[in-house]
Amino acid sequence: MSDESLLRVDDLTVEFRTDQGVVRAVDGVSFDVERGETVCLVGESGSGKTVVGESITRVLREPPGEIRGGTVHFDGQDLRSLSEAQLGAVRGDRIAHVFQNPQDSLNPVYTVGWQLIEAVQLHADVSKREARARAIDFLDRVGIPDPASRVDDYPHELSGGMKQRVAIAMALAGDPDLLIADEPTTALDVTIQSRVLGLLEEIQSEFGMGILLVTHDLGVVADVADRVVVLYQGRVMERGDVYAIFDRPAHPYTRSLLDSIPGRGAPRASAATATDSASGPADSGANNSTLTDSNSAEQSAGCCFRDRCPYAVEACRRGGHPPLYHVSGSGNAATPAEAATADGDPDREHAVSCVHFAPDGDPTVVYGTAVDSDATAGGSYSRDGSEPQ
Amino acid sequence: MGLKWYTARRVAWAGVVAFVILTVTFVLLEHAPDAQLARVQFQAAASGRSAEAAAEAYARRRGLQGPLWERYLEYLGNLASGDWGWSDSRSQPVVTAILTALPYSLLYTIPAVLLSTVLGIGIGLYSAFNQYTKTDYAATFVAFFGVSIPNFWFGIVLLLVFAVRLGWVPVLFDAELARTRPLSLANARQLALPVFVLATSAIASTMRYARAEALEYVRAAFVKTARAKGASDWRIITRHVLRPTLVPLSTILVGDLLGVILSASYLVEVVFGIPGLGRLSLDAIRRQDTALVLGTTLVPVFVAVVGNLLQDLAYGWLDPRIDYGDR
Repeated sequence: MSDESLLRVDDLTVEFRTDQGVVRAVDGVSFDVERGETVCLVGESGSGKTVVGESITRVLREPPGEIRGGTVHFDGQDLRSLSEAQLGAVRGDRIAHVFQNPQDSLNPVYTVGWQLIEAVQLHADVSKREARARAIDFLDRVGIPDPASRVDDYPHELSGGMKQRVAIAMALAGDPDLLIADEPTTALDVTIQSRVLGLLEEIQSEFGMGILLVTHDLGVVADVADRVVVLYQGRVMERGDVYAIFDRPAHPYTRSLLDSIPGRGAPRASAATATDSASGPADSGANNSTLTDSNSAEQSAGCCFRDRCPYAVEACRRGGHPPLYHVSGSGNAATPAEAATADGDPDREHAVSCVHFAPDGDPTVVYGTAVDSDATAGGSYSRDGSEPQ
Repeated sequence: MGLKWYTARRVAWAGVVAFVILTVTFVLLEHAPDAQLARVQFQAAASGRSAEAAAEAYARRRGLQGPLWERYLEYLGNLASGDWGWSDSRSQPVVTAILTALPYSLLYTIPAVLLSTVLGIGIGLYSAFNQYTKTDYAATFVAFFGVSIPNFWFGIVLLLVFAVRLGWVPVLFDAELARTRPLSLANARQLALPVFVLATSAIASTMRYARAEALEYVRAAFVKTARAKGASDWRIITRHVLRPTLVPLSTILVGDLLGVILSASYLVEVVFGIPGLGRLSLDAIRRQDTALVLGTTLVPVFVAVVGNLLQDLAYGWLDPRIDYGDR
């Protein structure tokens, strides 16, 4: 069991029942998180990253949500087979959550101290006095000034940044092994953001816990991530080491995401088109994951990113969504990632879900060195005719 | 400043409101036709005496002479000192009549209000947590049934079924039994139907409001936080959702209470033959016993004033964001 990951999510599939039909919000997502490691789930709104984070301990609202398939193993334990009561013992104690909006994540009618004491007492059999002492200690540790008097404040008496610190303190109260932080800094202004991120890193090095950070902010990712999982429409587009993702992004979607960072404005010829296509249809259509029961044959065929992809070719329209292919260091030879078990853990390698990285594909189409031949051969499906010339 | 100061001022305001109501009643009384006076005058005229002299004698006997402001002050003074006048129809002081009738009313209103509050909130919260399930639909059906069905009709039907047909409960309310052995099983049996009838209608409205309010919080981020902390569903409902839900609900509870006392009690007491406040008030109106009508009207007025006071104080206690500092 020494090789066992702290958290291992395999082929997770989550659907939502809506009035318009069943929406598959998460479709076969796999990744893992080690102790002391920060893994970032990245994607635009509606990519399913929050749903993944909430499915792990099933804090997801069911219904309308429903986990349809896959496994979630935490420290060797199958979380999906646990009862609600057993999960309750895991939540807060071993796996803690911090949610996006600190304005709403604290109960407005109880003091900060009451909520912290609750978090302590839910998992530790300690007296109220002892729990209160710990609550004050946690407030102090997350950098709240004058914690002994702040503990009796109500949430509305604190600023947003302070509230998020309280939420983090509450998450730490159970001394968790894994912290799932869902956009913990999005609602905060920039200076507070960096302090909260710094706090998370500090706590991580102190407690040695794994962090699953859900975010759309690539600046945050660059700051804290060890590894990155890029999601689009509920599917893993690309995953790998943070350096691999940022230095050699393989998937066209990842590339367009990176290009959309202000100031990173791409020197590449295709960058402008990629950014356009990323921001254009993104607003209208991208947050609608595939409706599986309506016109599914047309919709679900091929790569789910093909309509926005500047490198789409005929092959992208065929079959299902491409599996994850291993991205080799040199950028030419590729093998299916799932098969590459030789060096132990396929999930830890740089892998991408794109036909151009298939064993018979040509990564240079995306990397942009040999665009001409391939792109024009089957490239009439790219959104912009003037694109890679 | 703060809550104490607010409380003090709020209590003072309640006093002002009561004073205004009493003044309005005085003015109305002043202009109300006096059946007693009319009869005295008629009798005097019929037996050949002066109707005017009889009226004057009547006014003197009833303390109705003297300037208006003097009588007004006396009226206020008497009300404050518990002298609410003389009931002609019952030949006893109004306060005595009310105090005699009040326990009968309380016997069924207290259980009905408690039952409807606890069950109404409980079912409402359960429905909110199990929205769109079969049990939610069932609870909603019961609620609409309770709201829609007229109390008096429901009471009569229940009497026909359970008292006349099945004989499980007595048809007639035994006031003697209720007075001497209020905690006996026999008394509980004769109170079962009135409590049930009143509670069904009150449960229904409380339940609908509780469900709507709780639904707002069931999806709230802080409930998700509580779940992520490892709190059980029971704890989430009773600790995290109940309290914010109670803030708007406390308003409705006071309204419900008034509804029970003001209107439902008339019908229920008539149908079940309970000699409570509702019947007392109804009889007083029928017999034009002005003093008694006034007395029985003031009871719900005070309930309203005190209820609103308690409700305002409850807001501040339930929700710390409601700040009374600068008001």
